[in-house]
Amino acid sequence: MKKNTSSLLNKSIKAEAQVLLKRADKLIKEIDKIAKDFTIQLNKIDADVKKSTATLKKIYFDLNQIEKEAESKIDKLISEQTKALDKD
Amino acid sequence: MSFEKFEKKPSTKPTPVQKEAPEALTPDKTKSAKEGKNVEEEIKVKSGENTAPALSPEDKSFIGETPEKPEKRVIYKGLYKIPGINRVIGKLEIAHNKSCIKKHQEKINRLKAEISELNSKISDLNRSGKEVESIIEKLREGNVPNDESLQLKAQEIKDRKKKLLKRRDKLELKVKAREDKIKSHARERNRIADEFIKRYEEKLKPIETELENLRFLRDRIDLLIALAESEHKKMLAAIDNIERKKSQIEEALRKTGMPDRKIKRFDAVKKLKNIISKSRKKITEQIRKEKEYLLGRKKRIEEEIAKADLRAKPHRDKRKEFVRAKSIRVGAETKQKKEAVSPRKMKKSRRIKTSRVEEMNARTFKLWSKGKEISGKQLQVSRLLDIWNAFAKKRRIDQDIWNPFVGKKRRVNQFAIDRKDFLETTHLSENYELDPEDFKKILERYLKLKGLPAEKFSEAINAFFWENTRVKK
Repeated sequence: MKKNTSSLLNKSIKAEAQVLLKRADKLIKEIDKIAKDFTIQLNKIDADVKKSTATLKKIYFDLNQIEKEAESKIDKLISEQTKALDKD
Repeated sequence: MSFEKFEKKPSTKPTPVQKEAPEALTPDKTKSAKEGKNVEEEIKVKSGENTAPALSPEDKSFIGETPEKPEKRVIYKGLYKIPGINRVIGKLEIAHNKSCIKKHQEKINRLKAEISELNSKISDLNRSGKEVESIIEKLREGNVPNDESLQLKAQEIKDRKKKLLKRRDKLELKVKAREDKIKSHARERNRIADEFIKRYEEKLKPIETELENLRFLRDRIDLLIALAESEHKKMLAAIDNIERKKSQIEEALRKTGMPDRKIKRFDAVKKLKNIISKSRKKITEQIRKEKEYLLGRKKRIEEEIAKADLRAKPHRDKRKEFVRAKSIRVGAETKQKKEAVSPRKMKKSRRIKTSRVEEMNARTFKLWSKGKEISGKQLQVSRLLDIWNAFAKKRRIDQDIWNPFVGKKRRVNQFAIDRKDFLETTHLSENYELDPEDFKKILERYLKLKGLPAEKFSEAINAFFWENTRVKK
């Protein structure tokens, strides 16, 4: 009788342990899923940062060009002024 | 789950501009090299190294053309003192006038002085002419024979006056021509300045947009950090819960009379022990890596922002210089006035900072059940959003937002949270549970990400938690 009760108890403990094990397994999977999710989000942010940085580099290059053009136009203007002054 | 992907990623460390510039835009390598030099100079100027007057070969050749005329030397004198990067502005300053316009102005003044001298001579002659005419008239009235010499004198005065008037007209034309020159010079200078102001603005606008993008991404990382912390906390709590259950199983087995030695070897207990230790190790490692990666990423984005900002600064300055060179006064004083924080405002912001909100981890949510206040350690996201939106409705801070489709402004409550957007942005599910501490962090970062002014929303958030949470018992 006592053995029977003990065996029944053991069975119920085992069943409870099985449920717990399933929960623990699920938890591990969840940890992996969350990590994967973060990786995806971080990769997306990384790609966006790279895109922004590349755009900025291109703009800076264009700005240098503008600066050169500005310089040459101003040189021309100064030169014209100087010629005008020479004539006077 | 592996983070190796991140480790292998190419570094976003800055490389010199000549390497970064797209091939299609750099047909000439020498040209690119020159640009690279420009950027180096630019960086030197920004870091304050470029204080010594550097004269580039370009400058030398430019100055080399300086003719012997002293006026020209005056014009180009400034260039000797201009360091590389500010050369354009320096040249613009020269073109801006000073010496040129001054020279024209000096000549105009001389011409005007001459005109005024001529005017006084003309008026003297007018007076003399009138006197001679009146003498001739008197003689004629007195039937005195006409004196030929007087007639000749009158004619001579008329001739001299005609000559002087002719000279004056000529000088006036010269003055007008000079004035036109000054005007046309200013017009030409302004035209060039306008052209470049426009072009700088065209280029600076996307820079500001990209900077805003980077700031947004940095704020997203901040939100991710808050979300990661909440997830980690939840995972650790779940592991603790499993461990507690495992202890209960061990205790139950002990009660059946099973010796400790056997309990340890009990299959389910053994498996649970393994899983718990594996999960704990995994989550600890994940916390370490995520923290490292998220903070590293945030730092890198912040560096990118600082770098981009620093590189944009000289261009912004140049745009400003072009505007200044046009002699258009930028309302510096008004701007400063606007930016200055009033003492009243400062007092208010201090009050917000020092507002007494107790540590969130020591608080639970206040809930009402059957007219009785109960506490809730955690609440589902959907419920939290409902409570928040009800609070936002009470404390609404409206903003008028232009609606292009309707063609008029729409009044929007800044603090109301769009559930769909919140869930999409945070990647949280509606029934995900959060405690006050995590919800506060996530909410703050979400609102920051949405571009709401920090001083406004932090006060509102503090008030919200003050109203809706209580100290844990």
